Amino acid sequence: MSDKKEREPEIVGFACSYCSFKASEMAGSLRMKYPENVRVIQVPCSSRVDPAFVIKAIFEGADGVFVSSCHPGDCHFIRGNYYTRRKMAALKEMFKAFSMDGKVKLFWISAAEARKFIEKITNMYNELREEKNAGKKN
Amino acid sequence: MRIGIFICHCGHNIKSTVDIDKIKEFFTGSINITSVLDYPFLCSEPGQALIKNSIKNDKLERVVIAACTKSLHQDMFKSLVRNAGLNPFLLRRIGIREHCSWVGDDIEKNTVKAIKLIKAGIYSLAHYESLEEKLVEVNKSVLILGGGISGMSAAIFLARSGMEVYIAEKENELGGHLRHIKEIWPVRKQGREIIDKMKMTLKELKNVNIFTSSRLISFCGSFGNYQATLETPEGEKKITIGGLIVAIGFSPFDPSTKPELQYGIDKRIITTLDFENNMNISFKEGDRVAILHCIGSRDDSIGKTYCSRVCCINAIKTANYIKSQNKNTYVESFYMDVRSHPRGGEEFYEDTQEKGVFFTRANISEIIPEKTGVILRGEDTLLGMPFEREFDLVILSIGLSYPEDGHEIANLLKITLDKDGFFLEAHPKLRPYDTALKGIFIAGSCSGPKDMEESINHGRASAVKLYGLLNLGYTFVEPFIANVDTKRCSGCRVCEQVCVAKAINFDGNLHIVRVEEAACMGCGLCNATCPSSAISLKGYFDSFITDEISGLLEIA
Amino acid sequence: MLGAGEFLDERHVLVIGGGIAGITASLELALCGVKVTMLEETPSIGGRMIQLDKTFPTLDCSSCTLTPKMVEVALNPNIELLTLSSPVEIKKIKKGFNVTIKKKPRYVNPSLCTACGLCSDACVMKDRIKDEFNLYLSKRSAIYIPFPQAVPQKFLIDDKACLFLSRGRCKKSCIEACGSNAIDFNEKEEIIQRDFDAIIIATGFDLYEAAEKAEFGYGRLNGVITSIEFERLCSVTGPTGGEIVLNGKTPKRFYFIQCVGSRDRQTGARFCSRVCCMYTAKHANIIKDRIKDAQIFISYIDVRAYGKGYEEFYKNTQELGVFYIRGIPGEISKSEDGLLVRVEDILTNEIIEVATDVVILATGVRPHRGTEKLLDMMSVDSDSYGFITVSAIKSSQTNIDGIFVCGMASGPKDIADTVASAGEAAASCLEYITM
Repeated sequence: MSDKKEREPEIVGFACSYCSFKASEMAGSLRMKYPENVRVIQVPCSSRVDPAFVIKAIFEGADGVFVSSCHPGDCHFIRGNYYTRRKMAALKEMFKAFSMDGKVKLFWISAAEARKFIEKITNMYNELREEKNAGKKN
Repeated sequence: MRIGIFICHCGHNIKSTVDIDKIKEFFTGSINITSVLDYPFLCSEPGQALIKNSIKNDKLERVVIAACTKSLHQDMFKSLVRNAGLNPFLLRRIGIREHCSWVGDDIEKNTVKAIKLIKAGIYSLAHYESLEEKLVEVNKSVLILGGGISGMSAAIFLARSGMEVYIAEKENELGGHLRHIKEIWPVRKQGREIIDKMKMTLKELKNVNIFTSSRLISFCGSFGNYQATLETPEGEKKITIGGLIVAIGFSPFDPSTKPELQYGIDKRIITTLDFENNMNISFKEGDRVAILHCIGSRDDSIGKTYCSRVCCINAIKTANYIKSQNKNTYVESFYMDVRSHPRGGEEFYEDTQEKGVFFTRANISEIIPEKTGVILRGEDTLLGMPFEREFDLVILSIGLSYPEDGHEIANLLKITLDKDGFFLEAHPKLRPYDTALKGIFIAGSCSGPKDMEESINHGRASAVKLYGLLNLGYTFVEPFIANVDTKRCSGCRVCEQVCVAKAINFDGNLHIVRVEEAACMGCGLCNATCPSSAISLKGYFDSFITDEISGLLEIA
Repeated sequence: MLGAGEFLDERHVLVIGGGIAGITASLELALCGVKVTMLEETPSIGGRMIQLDKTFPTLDCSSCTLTPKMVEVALNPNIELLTLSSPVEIKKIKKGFNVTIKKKPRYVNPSLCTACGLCSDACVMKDRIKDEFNLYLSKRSAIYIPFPQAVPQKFLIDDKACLFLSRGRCKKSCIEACGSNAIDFNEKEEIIQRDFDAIIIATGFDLYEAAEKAEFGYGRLNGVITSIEFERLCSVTGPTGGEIVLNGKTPKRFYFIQCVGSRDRQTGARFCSRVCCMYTAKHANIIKDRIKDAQIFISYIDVRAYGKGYEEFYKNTQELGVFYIRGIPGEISKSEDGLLVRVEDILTNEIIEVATDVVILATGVRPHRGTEKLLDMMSVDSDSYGFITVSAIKSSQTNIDGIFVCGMASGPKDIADTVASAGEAAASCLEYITM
């Protein structure tokens, strides 16, 4: 029994207060549109994101998870985002082993980069949507 | 638990793309939800009264406000909750405007999203506990980066108000770009004159420490207690300050980056700044001068799409001056729009036209230096006709570009630059000189082109705001600090290793770690790293986030 | 000079005007510990900005950014807010001023009024009095609140419209409806005398009277409105709840005319009003957002998009399909299905006739009426247009020591420039009162 209707992926993202979350707010002020199934959780620094959160999100049904952080060198907490990079790299390696590496992404987005924020999450959404509807087993 | 949900229509900003009634329907009657109320503008006085009264009358223990994003009006809503008798950290803001109604077009999908965002917020909020803000002493001292007109204006006010003022200027003297302007419009004074007067004023004030040929090389800390290191000719100088004003100005656009302008290639093509520095060019009868507007601005090809605000007046001033020197010169200005909007500007523009200066709306396509003169080819966009005219002198009215040290300063201070390299303000309308960081302000052209009056205004306005923040001698800081559960801590010291602020210390006797509260910056890296879930960031516990995730993904 | 030992809380400053300029200056001073008395001649603070739906270039909701500041003023312990009040005499005393303030009666006791609105519903003049806040496009009662987010959040009686106060006879259904006994027809005008260390003038602006430009047919032709009227039509608190509807229909074709009453010797205003190019582009954006197949024309001389983000906003507006025509129309006439605008398009050199449903006149600004009298009272100099004269180096300083100015009262400016000028005025004022 095939489900003819297109299935929409659900994406959860973590955005740091000082950069990426501000970009997401600016995207809102500029009325830039992005898929409704993308929802953002605010964290003080991207380094607050425990890899366990990413795994939990996948367990609970998220098709994709992103962590969005300040550009390297620009972190308000000086080095937090370097730890984020290392953690996400390790997480991606693990996910790769399960052929799930497309489900986890790391973005560098500064407070003024609203447009980039929209582009990144929309691309991620479209990729996952294609995958989800291609019948690919995960 | 008694939770109250307040949904804002925000006029029609939320109401038009989110079905508020459906949201109310969903949550009304749910377990733990005591009340669900909505109102056109929750930030208005009646809106605030609605929230306050509901907290009191319905004896609410937690409050959810689904409205604009958290960054807006946070102080106001926190005060409101506190005044209603509830701890302000038992409030959860959900930005269903910036993160839902404004970014989605489909009402049904938006409504589903809004419900999930609110649900997730409630799941998280259920774990929140009361927190108290801490009182911290602040230093009544300020560092001003840049000693131009804006920086000096700020410095004079702050010094007069009793603050200890440090000025760091990279050049060997104060004054900035104004030093090079021979006659400032409209005051008709020399830039040097104005600068020298301010320098005298600064000299007479005590508690002013001026460092010329100096730069900022390191910066850390938090509002009220920033540590800055300056590199000065006498060596490094470390200072502790309460706040900082960035006033590093701008860089004049360099037309040699557009070779087609022939600047630097032919001597007959100069900029308004060159003209300013060499105003004793004498004009002969019959000399033909062209002035080109918008050089380095409103130009997609070089990625500078913005308007530099001051160059039209600058061009008009130049044209006016030339015509005054010799009325038998032929002066023609080529423009896209004449932006002579400042006080007295329109009259100045008209008077300049009446003096005999021609203003031609045109697109210049080519600048061709020939022996007899410089040929300008273009299209007159009003007559709709191409033209070719020869001139003896072509003056480029250059725009203002971002300050060259902007990137470096932005990195040091952790503040943001906009798409054009100027500093980004907290809000373009109501907070044009604030940054996202408390105690750090941006004044003058470093946040966007400004004329002298505007630069002075921003300098003094930032100064008075900073004074207001520091003058009490203390401030309240948010209590989002790491906390150790001594029962769980195994003393592995991994958190100590990773702590960016060096705020974690090992207690050898008890074999656990301790957090140095004053140094903790509240990033939460320790929380994410601890293998025993022993150290947690207040305000961002694991349970807050994991339950928020559940709320977002639960199928309604 | 300021500093340790200076008791700022003993200093008292008068701020005349409760718009964004007055609000900003008052809050800055109050934050520094200075006592402020704010006078607002209308029943609520908020000025012009609260009448706006959105602000350029971010298209932010104007009320959302302003109302929290209005509430801050009301709650700040250092600020005393006196509405329905204006100065009637100002005398210089030593370094400060003795000011006589006339406070008009509200006829409603603010400590009892809960703003429930039942009085307004019951009023015999309900829906019969032209509402000035909505530019007379809607009607209200004689007992009313100027707009829903008014600060103070209290009702008042318009004594010229109220039957009892103007003619001595009415059944006073308002008193019956009021559950808090807040209405008091016996309230009298109050005269208050205070000493102040300094004064800040923040009286703002009015819009040019469009009817003066007879060729545009305002007041004569149906469908010709002003920008501020259009702004109220867009606003959710306006006469149509934010629906762009005129004469019961949704217009599809819009024609904006810039520089009405600005850059115009004929109307006595050579100056540029600085905000109209941008607010017109804003209006075009609002229309495009709400009326999908709208056709928009804008007649202009120069487009002044000089501020941060303005040029990009202007470009974006053009990309939305808004037609900019260089050249101001000579004539507007009635046509079969609306209006006909006759204009010479200077860029193509043709005279064209554009059929439209609505013509919106982007009127320029003028100093707030009543300012002339106020300036006379204080011997403060103004220019030929009535704007207070200031120097570019000290943009808040008037010719009188101790009297400062900010906002549009000293010349046209947008909101961001107004806020900066108000900050500067607070700084200058602080320096003065502590010298």
